[in-house]
Amino acid sequence: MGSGPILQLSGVSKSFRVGPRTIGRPRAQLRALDHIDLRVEAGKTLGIVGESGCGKSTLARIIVGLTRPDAGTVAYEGADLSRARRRPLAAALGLQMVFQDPYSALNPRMRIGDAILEPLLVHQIVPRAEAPGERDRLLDVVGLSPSLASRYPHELSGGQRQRVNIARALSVRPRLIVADEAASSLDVSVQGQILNLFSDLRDQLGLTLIFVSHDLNVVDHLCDRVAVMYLGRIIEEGRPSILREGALHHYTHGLASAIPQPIPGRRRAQPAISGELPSPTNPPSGCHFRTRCPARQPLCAEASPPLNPAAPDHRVACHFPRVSTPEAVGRNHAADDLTVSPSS
Amino acid sequence: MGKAVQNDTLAPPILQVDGLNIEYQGGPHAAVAARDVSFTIRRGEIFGLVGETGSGKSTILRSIIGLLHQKAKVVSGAIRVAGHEVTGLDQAGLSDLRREHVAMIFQDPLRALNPVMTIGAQLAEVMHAAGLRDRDAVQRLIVGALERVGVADAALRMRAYPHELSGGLRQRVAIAAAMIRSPELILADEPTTALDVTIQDQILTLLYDLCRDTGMSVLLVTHDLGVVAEICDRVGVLYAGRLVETGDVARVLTAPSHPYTAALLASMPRIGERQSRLRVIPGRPPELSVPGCPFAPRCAYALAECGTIRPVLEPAGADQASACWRRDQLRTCLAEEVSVG
Repeated sequence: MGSGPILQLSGVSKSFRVGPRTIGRPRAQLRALDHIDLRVEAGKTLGIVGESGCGKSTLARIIVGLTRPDAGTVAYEGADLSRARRRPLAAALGLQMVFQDPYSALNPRMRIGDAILEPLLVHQIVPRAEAPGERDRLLDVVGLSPSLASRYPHELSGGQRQRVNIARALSVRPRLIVADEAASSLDVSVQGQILNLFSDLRDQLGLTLIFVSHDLNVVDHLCDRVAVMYLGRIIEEGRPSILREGALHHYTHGLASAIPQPIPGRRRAQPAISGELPSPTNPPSGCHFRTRCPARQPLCAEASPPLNPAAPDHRVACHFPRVSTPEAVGRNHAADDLTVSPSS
Repeated sequence: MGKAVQNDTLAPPILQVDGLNIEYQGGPHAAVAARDVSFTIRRGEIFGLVGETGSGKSTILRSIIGLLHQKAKVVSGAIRVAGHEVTGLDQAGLSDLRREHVAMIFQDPLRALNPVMTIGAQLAEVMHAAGLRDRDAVQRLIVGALERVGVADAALRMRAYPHELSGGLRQRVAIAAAMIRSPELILADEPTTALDVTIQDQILTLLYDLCRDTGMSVLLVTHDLGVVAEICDRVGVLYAGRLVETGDVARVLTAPSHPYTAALLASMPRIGERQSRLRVIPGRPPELSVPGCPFAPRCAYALAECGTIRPVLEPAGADQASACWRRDQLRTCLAEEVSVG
């Protein structure tokens, strides 16, 4: 594994019309995604982080084909999927998604065993006679007892339901799974179980994972690479160390410091980032973050900073990036490499 | 952390909860929401009540201000706010309590505010209830209240309706409304859970500063031990309706005296501490009352007696109490379990 990108996004943009329909006046335009360029290597795990309204869920939906981009290309294993009216079946099956709310993602009137059988039979993944065996194997893979197959979704806990959704996604043997806040609605102790399941699946099946989350702790734990989004743009991309001392963008640094940690004595006198998120229908000119940035200069209002390489494996969109000491970067890269991944 | 309180442990209590039992009645079995819960909040203190879904944290908070669900009943126990008994109060008594001593901040500020009134009118309503009639004075007080919670352009913003404000601003307005009567105790039920992290950070800082400036106390209900570490002085950890550990935040988070607290801390992913696997707590909380320690079936350190004899909250060192039979023996291994790296 690790040979070339499994997914490559180039110049992906998407706008939505929002607000009231008034005759004679155009509706407001919300730029959900603004020229997104992103590469995902096979077998790796990418985290996409950002606050509400940054476009991370729209990006997830465009990757799996639930939303079509206005412009740009989405290439899966080299083939552009963005223009196709219907995706080729191989691509549609190869890219699967796990949603945030495990209950609304399941049919409440279907036994969970049948919910897993359905894609197996529809897509003829295994011969009909072998399907029940495959269903039990999938339940086992996600850590559920096959005896639960006759239960309905409401009879399961939130964590168990999310395992069913993961089993359904796995049933069509995908190569890439996009998980949109897949552990966010769960309690801490259950969340840990689901995160461990994702890392086991990645290691055992060689899956590529895209983990969309607002929780930087989770992303740092699970991912090989991280993309940070703000108001429709990727503003920094690199190793997970950018969520620690390695941040070059002021937003990444502020976001990371704002995360509450269960460590006493971290109380700061000032919030990490002041001010409110600007309206996404009318974002600031130039750099979108400039209205809240501690290091803003006149240039930031005039020109939008491009997402340029700042170091090997590290891109940042800032005219005046933070200074990151080489020692801190070295220490963090060493910490990144500590994660054992049999695929690497 | 907690400078204002640490040097003054003799501050009088503002809230005393003693042997509180709450049940949800009406189903085939009475479901227990709180069992033998006792804790004290002193004046000027920020007390965090943490627990997972269904641990009873919100039910306990609501019982203090008489906002329990119809089916929920305080079966026994005492709740005293500033020395006044709260359980058994009628509507008039509860109104007095809410007017004089206690205010509440909810998780969802949009539902806590009236959608068809400007925020200025809503704040004015509170002043009118207090007997203030002079328009100019009310106006000045509202602008002052909004400025105190960090609302810029207060004179302009008071003419806005709740839907015109962002989530963070709405929560600031809700805090302003709660603060107008200078309450002695604020009950905050997951006040930042619905907000983005940078806004959560701002609201927590605001609550902390208001508390330190005015000397009021806060009971903060949350599922996030990170939030507790940010602003609380003391903490109570709930499991299946029972307090399993209480104490000074710095001690509980670095040297927990109950295996559940330690397991909860160890199962949280933290930035900068990448491990190949997260520690998890096997199983899930019991749905019915069990004879022994409620955590025993999931506890890595449980002995046979833990399943039969129930431990009660007893002192475990200075300003820390634990409901675990093995609290003294486990000290070192629990501290190791949560230690960093």
